[in-house]
Amino acid sequence: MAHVSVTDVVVNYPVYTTVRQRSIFTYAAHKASFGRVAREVGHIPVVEALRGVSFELNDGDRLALIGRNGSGKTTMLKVCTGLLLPDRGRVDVEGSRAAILNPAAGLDIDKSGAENVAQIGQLLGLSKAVRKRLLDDVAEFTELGDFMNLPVRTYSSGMMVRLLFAIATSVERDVVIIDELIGAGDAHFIAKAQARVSDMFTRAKILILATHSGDIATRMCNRAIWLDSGRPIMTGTAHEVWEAYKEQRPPLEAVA
Amino acid sequence: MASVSAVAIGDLFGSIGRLPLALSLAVDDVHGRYRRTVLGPLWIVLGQAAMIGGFALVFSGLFRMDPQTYLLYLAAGFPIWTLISQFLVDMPFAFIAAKGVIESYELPWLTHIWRRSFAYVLLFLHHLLIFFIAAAVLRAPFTATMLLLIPALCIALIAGAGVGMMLAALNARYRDLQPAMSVIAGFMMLLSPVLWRPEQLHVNQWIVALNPLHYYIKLLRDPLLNVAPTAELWIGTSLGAIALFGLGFLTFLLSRRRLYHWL
Repeated sequence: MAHVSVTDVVVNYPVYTTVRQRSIFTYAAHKASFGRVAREVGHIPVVEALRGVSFELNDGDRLALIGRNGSGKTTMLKVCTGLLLPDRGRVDVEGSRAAILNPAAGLDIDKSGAENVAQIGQLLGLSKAVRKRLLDDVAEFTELGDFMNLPVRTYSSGMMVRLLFAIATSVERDVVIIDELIGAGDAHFIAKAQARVSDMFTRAKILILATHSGDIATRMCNRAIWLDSGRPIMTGTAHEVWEAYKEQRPPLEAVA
Repeated sequence: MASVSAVAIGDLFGSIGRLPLALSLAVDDVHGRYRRTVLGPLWIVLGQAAMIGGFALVFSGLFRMDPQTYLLYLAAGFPIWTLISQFLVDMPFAFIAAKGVIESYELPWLTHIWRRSFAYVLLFLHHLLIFFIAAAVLRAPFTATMLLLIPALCIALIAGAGVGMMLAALNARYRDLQPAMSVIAGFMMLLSPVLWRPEQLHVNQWIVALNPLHYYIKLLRDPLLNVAPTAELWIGTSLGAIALFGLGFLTFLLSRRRLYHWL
Protein backbone atom coordinates (compact mmCIF):
# COMPACT_ATOMS: atom_id res chain seq x y z
CA MET A 1 0.00 0.00 0.00
CA ALA A 2 1.32 3.40 -0.91
CA HIS A 3 0.80 6.39 1.27
CA VAL A 4 1.97 10.01 1.24
CA SER A 5 1.52 12.21 4.25
CA VAL A 6 2.62 15.83 4.32
CA THR A 7 2.05 17.82 7.50
CA ASP A 8 2.58 21.57 7.88
CA VAL A 9 5.61 21.61 5.65
CA VAL A 10 7.71 24.76 5.63
CA VAL A 11 10.65 25.15 3.24
CA ASN A 12 12.98 28.14 3.15
CA TYR A 13 15.48 28.59 0.35
CA PRO A 14 18.71 30.44 1.06
CA VAL A 15 19.48 32.74 -1.84
CA TYR A 16 23.14 33.49 -2.43
CA THR A 17 23.44 36.76 -4.26
CA THR A 18 27.18 37.46 -4.06
CA VAL A 19 30.24 35.33 -4.67
CA ARG A 20 31.48 36.24 -1.21
CA GLN A 21 28.55 34.40 0.32
CA ARG A 22 29.84 31.21 -1.29
CA SER A 23 33.44 31.64 -0.20
CA ILE A 24 34.89 29.61 2.65
CA PHE A 25 37.61 32.23 3.15
CA THR A 26 35.13 35.07 3.50
CA TYR A 27 33.16 32.91 5.90
CA ALA A 28 36.30 32.23 7.96
CA ALA A 29 37.17 35.94 8.01
CA HIS A 30 33.61 36.76 9.03
CA LYS A 31 33.71 34.31 11.94
CA ALA A 32 37.23 35.22 13.01
CA SER A 33 36.33 38.91 13.21
CA PHE A 34 33.14 38.18 15.19
CA GLY A 35 31.04 39.36 12.28
CA ARG A 36 32.76 42.69 11.69
CA VAL A 37 34.22 41.65 8.33
CA ALA A 38 32.00 40.73 5.37
CA ARG A 39 28.69 41.50 7.02
CA GLU A 40 26.61 40.17 4.13
CA VAL A 41 27.83 36.66 4.95
CA GLY A 42 25.78 36.78 8.12
CA HIS A 43 22.63 37.92 6.32
CA ILE A 44 21.79 35.49 3.58
CA PRO A 45 18.34 36.27 2.18
CA VAL A 46 15.81 33.51 2.56
CA VAL A 47 12.85 32.83 0.29
CA GLU A 48 9.87 31.18 1.91
CA ALA A 49 8.97 28.66 -0.77
CA LEU A 50 6.40 26.72 1.23
CA ARG A 51 4.62 28.05 4.30
CA GLY A 52 2.59 25.27 5.86
CA VAL A 53 1.28 22.79 3.33
CA SER A 54 -0.51 19.61 4.41
CA PHE A 55 -2.17 16.78 2.56
CA GLU A 56 -2.72 13.06 2.83
CA LEU A 57 -2.78 10.71 -0.17
CA ASN A 58 -3.73 7.04 -0.29
CA ASP A 59 -3.86 4.40 -3.01
CA GLY A 60 -5.71 5.74 -6.03
CA ASP A 61 -5.26 9.41 -5.17
CA ARG A 62 -4.11 11.67 -8.00
CA LEU A 63 -3.18 15.12 -6.86
CA ALA A 64 -2.68 18.14 -9.11
CA LEU A 65 -0.68 21.10 -7.80
CA ILE A 66 -1.97 24.26 -9.42
CA GLY A 67 -0.65 27.79 -9.14
CA ARG A 68 1.24 30.54 -10.88
CA ASN A 69 4.97 30.51 -11.53
CA GLY A 70 6.90 30.67 -8.28
CA SER A 71 3.99 29.54 -6.14
CA GLY A 72 5.90 26.56 -4.74
CA LYS A 73 4.68 23.70 -6.95
CA THR A 74 8.11 22.37 -7.90
CA THR A 75 9.39 22.83 -4.35
CA MET A 76 6.46 20.74 -3.12
CA LEU A 77 7.37 18.01 -5.62
CA LYS A 78 11.01 18.10 -4.50
CA VAL A 79 9.93 17.67 -0.91
CA CYS A 80 7.85 14.63 -1.91
CA THR A 81 10.81 13.06 -3.71
CA GLY A 82 13.06 13.57 -0.68
CA LEU A 83 15.46 15.93 -2.45
CA LEU A 84 14.53 18.70 -0.05
CA LEU A 85 14.01 18.10 3.62
CA PRO A 86 11.47 20.49 5.11
CA ASP A 87 12.63 23.08 7.63
CA ARG A 88 9.54 22.36 9.66
CA GLY A 89 6.77 19.81 9.39
CA ARG A 90 6.82 16.17 8.40
CA VAL A 91 6.85 14.23 5.17
CA ASP A 92 6.27 10.47 5.06
CA VAL A 93 6.23 8.56 1.82
CA GLU A 94 5.57 4.83 1.79
CA GLY A 95 6.20 3.03 -1.47
CA SER A 96 8.71 3.28 -4.27
CA ARG A 97 9.00 6.65 -5.96
CA ALA A 98 9.64 7.78 -9.52
CA ALA A 99 10.13 11.42 -10.32
CA ILE A 100 10.28 13.27 -13.60
CA LEU A 101 11.41 16.72 -12.54
CA ASN A 102 14.16 17.63 -14.93
CA PRO A 103 14.02 15.40 -17.99
CA ALA A 104 17.24 16.84 -19.42
CA ALA A 105 19.29 15.61 -16.45
CA GLY A 106 20.73 12.16 -16.18
CA LEU A 107 21.72 11.44 -19.79
CA ASP A 108 25.36 10.87 -20.70
CA ILE A 109 25.76 12.49 -24.11
CA ASP A 110 28.90 10.56 -25.03
CA LYS A 111 27.13 7.25 -24.73
CA SER A 112 24.72 5.76 -27.20
CA GLY A 113 21.02 5.67 -26.48
CA ALA A 114 21.21 1.95 -25.73
CA GLU A 115 24.13 2.43 -23.32
CA ASN A 116 22.23 5.17 -21.55
CA VAL A 117 19.24 2.92 -21.15
CA ALA A 118 21.51 0.24 -19.66
CA GLN A 119 23.11 2.68 -17.23
CA ILE A 120 19.85 4.25 -16.16
CA GLY A 121 18.42 0.77 -15.68
CA GLN A 122 21.29 0.16 -13.27
CA LEU A 123 20.69 3.43 -11.47
CA LEU A 124 17.07 2.44 -11.05
CA GLY A 125 18.20 -0.83 -9.51
CA LEU A 126 16.62 -3.07 -12.17
CA SER A 127 17.73 -6.66 -12.63
CA LYS A 128 19.51 -7.75 -15.82
CA ALA A 129 16.42 -9.37 -17.28
CA VAL A 130 14.28 -6.32 -16.61
CA ARG A 131 16.96 -4.07 -18.13
CA LYS A 132 16.86 -6.10 -21.32
CA ARG A 133 13.11 -5.67 -21.53
CA LEU A 134 13.48 -1.97 -20.79
CA LEU A 135 15.76 -1.58 -23.79
CA ASP A 136 13.30 -3.30 -26.13
CA ASP A 137 10.44 -1.29 -24.73
CA VAL A 138 12.29 2.03 -25.08
CA ALA A 139 13.52 1.24 -28.59
CA GLU A 140 10.01 0.42 -29.68
CA PHE A 141 8.38 3.43 -28.08
CA THR A 142 10.92 6.03 -29.20
CA GLU A 143 11.12 4.72 -32.79
CA LEU A 144 14.74 5.87 -32.75
CA GLY A 145 15.83 2.93 -34.90
CA ASP A 146 19.57 2.97 -35.66
CA PHE A 147 19.99 6.12 -33.58
CA MET A 148 19.77 3.89 -30.49
CA ASN A 149 23.37 2.88 -31.22
CA LEU A 150 24.69 6.39 -31.87
CA PRO A 151 25.94 8.77 -29.17
CA VAL A 152 23.23 10.93 -27.63
CA ARG A 153 25.38 13.90 -28.70
CA THR A 154 24.08 13.38 -32.23
CA TYR A 155 20.40 13.51 -31.21
CA SER A 156 18.08 16.42 -31.77
CA SER A 157 16.47 17.81 -28.61
CA GLY A 158 13.18 16.18 -29.55
CA MET A 159 14.90 12.80 -29.78
CA MET A 160 16.50 13.26 -26.36
CA VAL A 161 13.16 14.03 -24.82
CA ARG A 162 11.67 10.95 -26.46
CA LEU A 163 14.41 8.77 -25.04
CA LEU A 164 14.21 10.15 -21.52
CA PHE A 165 10.48 10.13 -21.51
CA ALA A 166 10.36 6.50 -22.61
CA ILE A 167 12.81 5.43 -19.90
CA ALA A 168 11.07 7.40 -17.19
CA THR A 169 7.66 6.01 -18.03
CA SER A 170 8.78 2.38 -18.44
CA VAL A 171 9.37 1.71 -14.78
CA GLU A 172 6.54 0.87 -12.47
CA ARG A 173 6.53 2.74 -9.20
CA ASP A 174 3.98 3.22 -6.43
CA VAL A 175 4.27 6.98 -6.23
CA VAL A 176 4.82 8.95 -9.43
CA ILE A 177 5.84 12.59 -9.17
CA ILE A 178 5.85 14.71 -12.32
CA ASP A 179 6.64 18.34 -13.00
CA GLU A 180 4.99 20.12 -15.92
CA LEU A 181 5.44 17.86 -18.92
CA ILE A 182 7.23 19.64 -21.68
CA GLY A 183 5.82 19.47 -25.16
CA ALA A 184 9.03 18.87 -27.09
CA GLY A 185 8.74 16.49 -29.98
CA ASP A 186 6.48 16.31 -32.97
CA ALA A 187 2.71 15.91 -32.95
CA HIS A 188 2.96 12.18 -33.50
CA PHE A 189 5.16 11.81 -30.43
CA ILE A 190 2.99 14.04 -28.26
CA ALA A 191 -0.09 11.95 -29.02
CA LYS A 192 1.84 8.78 -28.22
CA ALA A 193 3.27 10.33 -25.06
CA GLN A 194 -0.15 11.30 -23.80
CA ALA A 195 -1.46 7.79 -24.26
CA ARG A 196 1.56 6.41 -22.43
CA VAL A 197 1.30 8.88 -19.57
CA SER A 198 -2.33 8.07 -18.95
CA ASP A 199 -1.35 4.41 -18.95
CA MET A 200 1.45 5.09 -16.45
CA PHE A 201 -0.84 7.20 -14.31
CA THR A 202 -3.44 4.49 -14.13
CA ARG A 203 -0.79 1.96 -13.07
CA ALA A 204 0.71 4.21 -10.38
CA LYS A 205 -0.96 3.97 -7.00
CA ILE A 206 -0.41 7.63 -6.23
CA LEU A 207 0.24 10.46 -8.62
CA ILE A 208 1.39 13.97 -7.78
CA LEU A 209 1.80 16.38 -10.64
CA ALA A 210 2.35 20.08 -11.10
CA THR A 211 0.60 21.57 -14.07
CA HIS A 212 -0.60 24.73 -15.76
CA SER A 213 -3.05 22.81 -17.89
CA GLY A 214 -6.66 22.55 -16.77
CA ASP A 215 -7.13 19.74 -19.24
CA ILE A 216 -4.38 17.61 -17.65
CA ALA A 217 -5.40 18.52 -14.11
CA THR A 218 -9.06 17.62 -14.52
CA ARG A 219 -8.52 14.61 -16.76
CA MET A 220 -5.68 12.98 -14.82
CA CYS A 221 -6.40 13.95 -11.24
CA ASN A 222 -9.19 13.61 -8.74
CA ARG A 223 -7.81 16.08 -6.22
CA ALA A 224 -6.05 19.41 -6.44
CA ILE A 225 -4.33 22.03 -4.31
CA TRP A 226 -4.05 25.63 -5.39
CA LEU A 227 -0.79 27.10 -4.15
CA ASP A 228 -0.11 30.80 -3.96
CA SER A 229 3.18 32.18 -2.59
CA GLY A 230 3.82 28.87 -0.86
CA ARG A 231 0.42 28.76 0.87
CA PRO A 232 -2.37 26.39 -0.03
CA ILE A 233 -5.32 28.66 -0.70
CA MET A 234 -7.75 26.01 -1.86
CA THR A 235 -8.04 22.25 -1.61
CA GLY A 236 -10.72 20.15 -3.22
CA THR A 237 -11.58 18.05 -6.22
CA ALA A 238 -9.50 18.78 -9.30
CA HIS A 239 -12.54 20.15 -11.06
CA GLU A 240 -13.65 22.68 -8.48
CA VAL A 241 -10.14 23.91 -7.72
CA TRP A 242 -9.38 24.38 -11.41
CA GLU A 243 -12.63 26.29 -11.98
CA ALA A 244 -11.82 28.64 -9.11
CA TYR A 245 -8.21 29.05 -10.21
CA LYS A 246 -9.23 29.82 -13.76
CA GLU A 247 -11.26 32.77 -12.54
CA GLN A 248 -8.71 33.63 -9.81
CA ARG A 249 -11.54 33.36 -7.30
CA PRO A 250 -10.40 31.71 -4.10
CA PRO A 251 -13.14 30.39 -1.81
CA LEU A 252 -14.29 32.80 0.87
CA GLU A 253 -12.87 30.98 3.88
CA ALA A 254 -9.40 31.10 2.35
CA VAL A 255 -9.54 34.86 1.94
CA ALA A 256 -10.52 35.38 5.55
CA MET B 1 15.54 17.46 13.81
CA ALA B 2 15.53 13.70 14.17
CA SER B 3 14.35 13.03 10.64
CA VAL B 4 17.50 14.52 9.08
CA SER B 5 19.63 12.01 10.98
CA ALA B 6 17.27 9.25 9.90
CA VAL B 7 17.59 10.30 6.26
CA ALA B 8 21.39 10.56 6.45
CA ILE B 9 21.81 7.22 8.25
CA GLY B 10 19.40 5.56 5.83
CA ASP B 11 21.47 7.03 3.02
CA LEU B 12 24.69 5.60 4.47
CA PHE B 13 23.32 2.08 4.83
CA GLY B 14 21.56 2.30 1.49
CA SER B 15 24.82 3.28 -0.18
CA ILE B 16 26.68 0.42 1.48
CA GLY B 17 24.02 -1.97 0.19
CA ARG B 18 24.60 -0.59 -3.28
CA LEU B 19 28.40 -0.81 -3.31
CA PRO B 20 28.31 -3.19 -6.33
CA LEU B 21 26.35 -0.52 -8.23
CA ALA B 22 28.92 2.13 -7.24
CA LEU B 23 31.70 -0.16 -8.45
CA SER B 24 30.08 -0.82 -11.81
CA LEU B 25 29.47 2.91 -12.27
CA ALA B 26 33.12 3.53 -11.42
CA VAL B 27 34.29 0.99 -14.02
CA ASP B 28 32.09 2.79 -16.48
CA ASP B 29 33.51 6.19 -15.55
CA VAL B 30 37.08 5.01 -16.05
CA HIS B 31 36.18 3.54 -19.44
CA GLY B 32 34.15 6.59 -20.38
CA ARG B 33 37.07 8.91 -19.91
CA TYR B 34 38.93 7.24 -22.75
CA ARG B 35 35.95 6.29 -24.86
CA ARG B 36 37.04 8.20 -27.91
CA THR B 37 40.73 7.25 -27.89
CA VAL B 38 42.40 4.31 -29.59
CA LEU B 39 44.68 3.34 -26.72
CA GLY B 40 41.93 3.68 -24.14
CA PRO B 41 42.97 3.48 -20.47
CA LEU B 42 46.52 2.82 -21.62
CA TRP B 43 46.85 6.60 -21.84
CA ILE B 44 46.68 6.74 -18.07
CA VAL B 45 49.56 4.30 -17.82
CA LEU B 46 51.65 6.06 -20.46
CA GLY B 47 51.24 9.45 -18.81
CA GLN B 48 52.32 8.10 -15.46
CA ALA B 49 55.24 6.17 -17.02
CA ALA B 50 56.57 9.32 -18.67
CA MET B 51 56.44 11.21 -15.35
CA ILE B 52 58.15 8.50 -13.35
CA GLY B 53 60.82 7.95 -16.01
CA GLY B 54 61.61 11.66 -16.12
CA PHE B 55 61.80 12.05 -12.36
CA ALA B 56 63.89 8.89 -11.96
CA LEU B 57 66.38 10.15 -14.53
CA VAL B 58 66.86 13.56 -12.94
CA PHE B 59 66.37 12.91 -9.24
CA SER B 60 68.46 9.75 -8.85
CA GLY B 61 71.47 11.90 -9.83
CA LEU B 62 70.31 14.80 -7.69
CA PHE B 63 69.74 12.69 -4.58
CA ARG B 64 72.73 10.42 -5.30
CA MET B 65 70.62 7.33 -5.02
CA ASP B 66 70.89 4.00 -6.74
CA PRO B 67 68.77 4.60 -9.88
CA GLN B 68 67.13 1.18 -9.71
CA THR B 69 66.02 1.42 -6.08
CA TYR B 70 64.87 4.98 -6.65
CA LEU B 71 62.90 4.01 -9.74
CA LEU B 72 60.94 1.39 -7.80
CA TYR B 73 60.42 3.81 -4.91
CA LEU B 74 59.00 6.37 -7.33
CA ALA B 75 56.94 3.88 -9.32
CA ALA B 76 55.28 2.82 -6.07
CA GLY B 77 54.98 6.32 -4.58
CA PHE B 78 53.63 8.19 -7.58
CA PRO B 79 50.43 6.17 -8.06
CA ILE B 80 49.83 6.41 -4.32
CA TRP B 81 50.16 10.16 -4.44
CA THR B 82 47.82 10.37 -7.43
CA LEU B 83 45.28 8.31 -5.47
CA ILE B 84 45.49 10.59 -2.43
CA SER B 85 45.40 13.78 -4.44
CA GLN B 86 42.24 12.71 -6.25
CA PHE B 87 40.46 12.33 -2.95
CA LEU B 88 41.50 15.89 -2.12
CA VAL B 89 41.10 17.60 -5.49
CA ASP B 90 38.42 15.71 -7.41
CA MET B 91 36.12 14.55 -4.61
CA PRO B 92 34.81 18.08 -3.87
CA PHE B 93 32.86 17.78 -7.15
CA ALA B 94 31.08 14.58 -6.11
CA PHE B 95 27.67 16.08 -5.26
CA ILE B 96 27.79 19.07 -7.61
CA ALA B 97 28.55 16.92 -10.63
CA ALA B 98 25.90 14.37 -9.69
CA LYS B 99 23.06 16.90 -9.50
CA GLY B 100 21.28 15.52 -12.56
CA VAL B 101 21.43 11.95 -11.28
CA ILE B 102 20.36 13.01 -7.80
CA GLU B 103 17.31 14.76 -9.25
CA SER B 104 16.35 11.96 -11.57
CA TYR B 105 16.80 8.70 -9.70
CA GLU B 106 16.09 7.59 -6.19
CA LEU B 107 19.61 6.64 -5.13
CA PRO B 108 21.53 7.15 -1.90
CA TRP B 109 23.55 10.34 -2.23
CA LEU B 110 26.61 8.69 -0.76
CA THR B 111 26.68 6.29 -3.72
CA HIS B 112 28.34 9.19 -5.54
CA ILE B 113 31.12 9.24 -2.95
CA TRP B 114 31.70 5.49 -3.31
CA ARG B 115 31.50 5.71 -7.08
CA ARG B 116 34.31 8.24 -7.18
CA SER B 117 36.34 6.43 -4.53
CA PHE B 118 36.21 3.20 -6.52
CA ALA B 119 37.12 5.01 -9.73
CA TYR B 120 40.23 6.42 -8.01
CA VAL B 121 41.24 2.96 -6.80
CA LEU B 122 40.73 1.54 -10.31
CA LEU B 123 42.97 4.24 -11.76
CA PHE B 124 45.51 3.46 -9.05
CA LEU B 125 45.54 -0.18 -10.11
CA HIS B 126 46.13 0.93 -13.71
CA HIS B 127 49.05 3.05 -12.56
CA LEU B 128 50.53 0.15 -10.62
CA LEU B 129 51.07 -1.63 -13.90
CA ILE B 130 54.19 0.52 -14.39
CA PHE B 131 55.45 -0.46 -10.98
CA PHE B 132 55.02 -4.14 -11.76
CA ILE B 133 56.70 -3.78 -15.16
CA ALA B 134 59.61 -1.93 -13.56
CA ALA B 135 59.84 -4.51 -10.78
CA ALA B 136 59.87 -7.35 -13.30
CA VAL B 137 62.51 -5.70 -15.46
CA LEU B 138 64.71 -4.94 -12.46
CA ARG B 139 64.13 -8.45 -11.09
CA ALA B 140 62.77 -7.22 -7.79
CA PRO B 141 61.29 -10.08 -5.76
CA PHE B 142 57.52 -10.64 -5.84
CA THR B 143 56.48 -11.94 -2.42
CA ALA B 144 53.36 -12.56 -0.40
CA THR B 145 54.08 -9.33 1.53
CA MET B 146 52.73 -7.49 -1.49
CA LEU B 147 49.28 -8.88 -0.74
CA LEU B 148 49.20 -6.63 2.32
CA LEU B 149 48.41 -3.91 -0.19
CA ILE B 150 44.81 -5.15 -0.21
CA PRO B 151 43.99 -4.44 3.46
CA ALA B 152 46.04 -1.25 3.20
CA LEU B 153 43.89 -0.12 0.29
CA CYS B 154 40.74 -0.85 2.27
CA ILE B 155 41.92 1.39 5.09
CA ALA B 156 42.87 4.13 2.65
CA LEU B 157 39.49 3.80 0.94
CA ILE B 158 37.60 4.33 4.20
CA ALA B 159 39.75 7.31 5.13
CA GLY B 160 39.33 8.72 1.62
CA ALA B 161 35.56 8.26 1.59
CA GLY B 162 35.42 10.10 4.93
CA VAL B 163 37.47 13.01 3.60
CA GLY B 164 35.36 12.84 0.44
CA MET B 165 32.03 13.20 2.27
CA MET B 166 33.38 16.21 4.08
CA LEU B 167 34.85 17.93 1.01
CA ALA B 168 31.91 17.15 -1.28
CA ALA B 169 29.37 18.58 1.17
CA LEU B 170 31.45 21.65 2.06
CA ASN B 171 32.35 22.39 -1.53
CA ALA B 172 28.68 22.44 -2.49
CA ARG B 173 28.22 25.30 -0.05
CA TYR B 174 31.58 27.05 -0.43
CA ARG B 175 32.62 26.88 -4.05
CA ASP B 176 36.17 28.13 -3.53
CA LEU B 177 37.10 25.10 -1.44
CA GLN B 178 38.06 23.01 -4.47
CA PRO B 179 40.59 25.46 -5.94
CA ALA B 180 42.00 25.85 -2.44
CA MET B 181 42.35 22.06 -2.20
CA SER B 182 44.27 22.01 -5.51
CA VAL B 183 46.76 24.47 -4.06
CA ILE B 184 47.03 22.55 -0.81
CA ALA B 185 47.48 19.22 -2.62
CA GLY B 186 50.31 20.61 -4.76
CA PHE B 187 52.02 21.91 -1.66
CA MET B 188 51.48 18.69 0.28
CA MET B 189 53.03 16.66 -2.51
CA LEU B 190 56.34 18.39 -1.95
CA LEU B 191 56.01 18.05 1.82
CA SER B 192 55.25 14.35 1.63
CA PRO B 193 57.87 11.70 1.00
CA VAL B 194 56.92 10.80 -2.56
CA LEU B 195 59.90 12.12 -4.51
CA TRP B 196 62.28 11.91 -1.55
CA ARG B 197 62.82 9.51 1.31
CA PRO B 198 62.07 10.45 4.92
CA GLU B 199 65.62 9.52 5.98
CA GLN B 200 67.05 12.04 3.51
CA LEU B 201 65.44 14.83 5.48
CA HIS B 202 68.08 15.91 7.96
CA VAL B 203 66.45 19.09 9.19
CA ASN B 204 62.80 19.84 9.91
CA GLN B 205 61.90 16.22 10.46
CA TRP B 206 58.59 17.28 11.92
CA ILE B 207 57.47 17.77 8.30
CA VAL B 208 57.26 14.01 8.04
CA ALA B 209 56.25 13.20 11.60
CA LEU B 210 53.30 15.58 11.68
CA ASN B 211 52.15 14.92 8.13
CA PRO B 212 49.15 12.58 8.26
CA LEU B 213 49.51 11.82 4.57
CA HIS B 214 52.96 10.38 5.22
CA TYR B 215 51.47 7.50 7.22
CA TYR B 216 48.95 6.58 4.53
CA ILE B 217 51.61 6.79 1.82
CA LYS B 218 53.87 4.53 3.87
CA LEU B 219 51.03 2.10 4.57
CA LEU B 220 50.41 1.66 0.84
CA ARG B 221 54.03 1.79 -0.31
CA ASP B 222 55.64 -0.58 2.18
CA PRO B 223 53.87 -3.72 0.91
CA LEU B 224 54.86 -2.90 -2.66
CA LEU B 225 58.51 -2.63 -1.60
CA ASN B 226 58.24 -5.96 0.23
CA VAL B 227 58.16 -4.43 3.69
CA ALA B 228 55.38 -5.41 6.08
CA PRO B 229 53.90 -2.25 7.69
CA THR B 230 54.45 -2.12 11.46
CA ALA B 231 51.62 -2.82 13.89
CA GLU B 232 51.65 0.83 14.97
CA LEU B 233 51.15 1.90 11.38
CA TRP B 234 48.18 -0.48 10.88
CA ILE B 235 46.54 0.63 14.10
CA GLY B 236 47.23 4.32 13.65
CA THR B 237 45.97 4.51 10.09
CA SER B 238 42.90 2.39 10.92
CA LEU B 239 41.93 4.63 13.81
CA GLY B 240 42.56 7.65 11.61
CA ALA B 241 40.35 6.18 8.90
CA ILE B 242 37.52 5.53 11.35
CA ALA B 243 37.80 9.05 12.75
CA LEU B 244 37.83 10.61 9.27
CA PHE B 245 34.86 8.52 8.18
CA GLY B 246 32.92 9.55 11.29
CA LEU B 247 33.79 13.20 10.80
CA GLY B 248 32.92 13.06 7.11
CA PHE B 249 29.57 11.42 7.80
CA LEU B 250 28.80 13.99 10.46
CA THR B 251 29.49 16.77 7.95
CA PHE B 252 27.17 15.08 5.47
CA LEU B 253 24.48 14.63 8.11
CA LEU B 254 24.65 18.25 9.27
CA SER B 255 24.53 19.61 5.73
CA ARG B 256 21.98 17.18 4.27
CA ARG B 257 18.96 19.44 4.83
CA ARG B 258 20.53 22.36 2.96
CA LEU B 259 22.60 20.30 0.53
CA TYR B 260 20.10 20.28 -2.32
CA HIS B 261 19.70 24.07 -2.13
CA TRP B 262 23.46 24.42 -2.51
CA LEU B 263 23.82 22.30 -5.62
